[in-house]
Amino acid sequence: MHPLPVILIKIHKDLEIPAKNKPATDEQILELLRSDRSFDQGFRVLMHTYKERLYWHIRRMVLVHEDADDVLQNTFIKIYRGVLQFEGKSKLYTWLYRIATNEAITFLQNRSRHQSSSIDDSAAVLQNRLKADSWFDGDALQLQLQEAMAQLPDKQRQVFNLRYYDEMPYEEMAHLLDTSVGALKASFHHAVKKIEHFFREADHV
Amino acid sequence: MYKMPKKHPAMKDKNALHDELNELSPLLKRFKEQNDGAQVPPGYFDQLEDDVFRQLDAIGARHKPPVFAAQQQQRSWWQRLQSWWQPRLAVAFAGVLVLALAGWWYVQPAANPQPGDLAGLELSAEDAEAYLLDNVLELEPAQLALALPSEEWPAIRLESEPSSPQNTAPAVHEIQIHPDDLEDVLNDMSDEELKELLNG
Repeated sequence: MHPLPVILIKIHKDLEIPAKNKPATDEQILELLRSDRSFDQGFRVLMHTYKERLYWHIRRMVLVHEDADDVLQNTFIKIYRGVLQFEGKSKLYTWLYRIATNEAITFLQNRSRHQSSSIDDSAAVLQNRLKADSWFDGDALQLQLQEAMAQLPDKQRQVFNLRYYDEMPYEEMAHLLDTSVGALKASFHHAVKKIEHFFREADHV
Repeated sequence: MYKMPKKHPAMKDKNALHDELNELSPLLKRFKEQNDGAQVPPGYFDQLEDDVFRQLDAIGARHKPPVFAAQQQQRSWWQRLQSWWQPRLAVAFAGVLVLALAGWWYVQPAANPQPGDLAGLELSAEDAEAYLLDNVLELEPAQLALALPSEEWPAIRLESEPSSPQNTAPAVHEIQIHPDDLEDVLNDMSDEELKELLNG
């Protein structure tokens, strides 16, 4: 998922994004955010640059579009309120990704508190929610894959999504999740084996 | 002479993922080549920024930030100390310190070891193993990581299905785990996997 091109935005003579048809850099975004006058414009550019990456990350965690939309909007509200605390010690996306992940995990925890704790029941609830989602038109096997993924522990699902869907190199993932490449390979391997096991049990292969 | 173009890093990793999936799970590789079925409403991303600003207005969160945190003027340690040394703050600080010390004294660990605390007991290796197996669900991953023999820390063996019909032996992968990350790996394992690991 690549950020969309940013249209030329001229705030005043010192604050300018000269990169027509190029995505804004973190430095350009932060420069806009640093000024009172251009803060909102900087935040708009931040959303424009990262909204799709963050949306798909959240969608793969919560699965249903309506939920992903709620979580993404809450994530951006948190970012708006907290971006002044960003100290630039990591990449901007790393910081945004962590906020989005926490927001999605909180959403999933709140939802599971209101649902039955049985795994079979929650699988059925998930299946119904996906079937009812107008923005999911996957076939039966894709539905099964989503169910299998939903049964993975949070961290394993996160690693699986980053590797399988985003095709993120392990080294980049290690930086993002603050862990080692070996631990990530082990998590991905376990996740893949659990998903295969799920399909064998369901006798779909 | 024709030179092969250098592969783009993203393309290189795409190939690495395909190789990895080929080896681990041809089934998932097949799924990846299909559309996963997830879509968004038309124009969703185009109006998202406006939607977020509307939400910010609705909850009254729209603001003009005074200064960027990183740009805040750094005060010297002496200026910070002076601001703490106002009489009211000093009295409040002393009160909090007294309460904290009293709390610490009250919650000091009792002489008897608590359940799950193995450090205070003298156990044989067999007893310790039996204890761990019996209490595997109650233990924290950090406790399990401490309980594992140190020679088992650096690597975890993972077996997968035979890679081809000709080769019937299961493929064994040995992945190096840094001890600091062992807790994360243990956290993500199922109860059965943990029991299997402890049984060696």
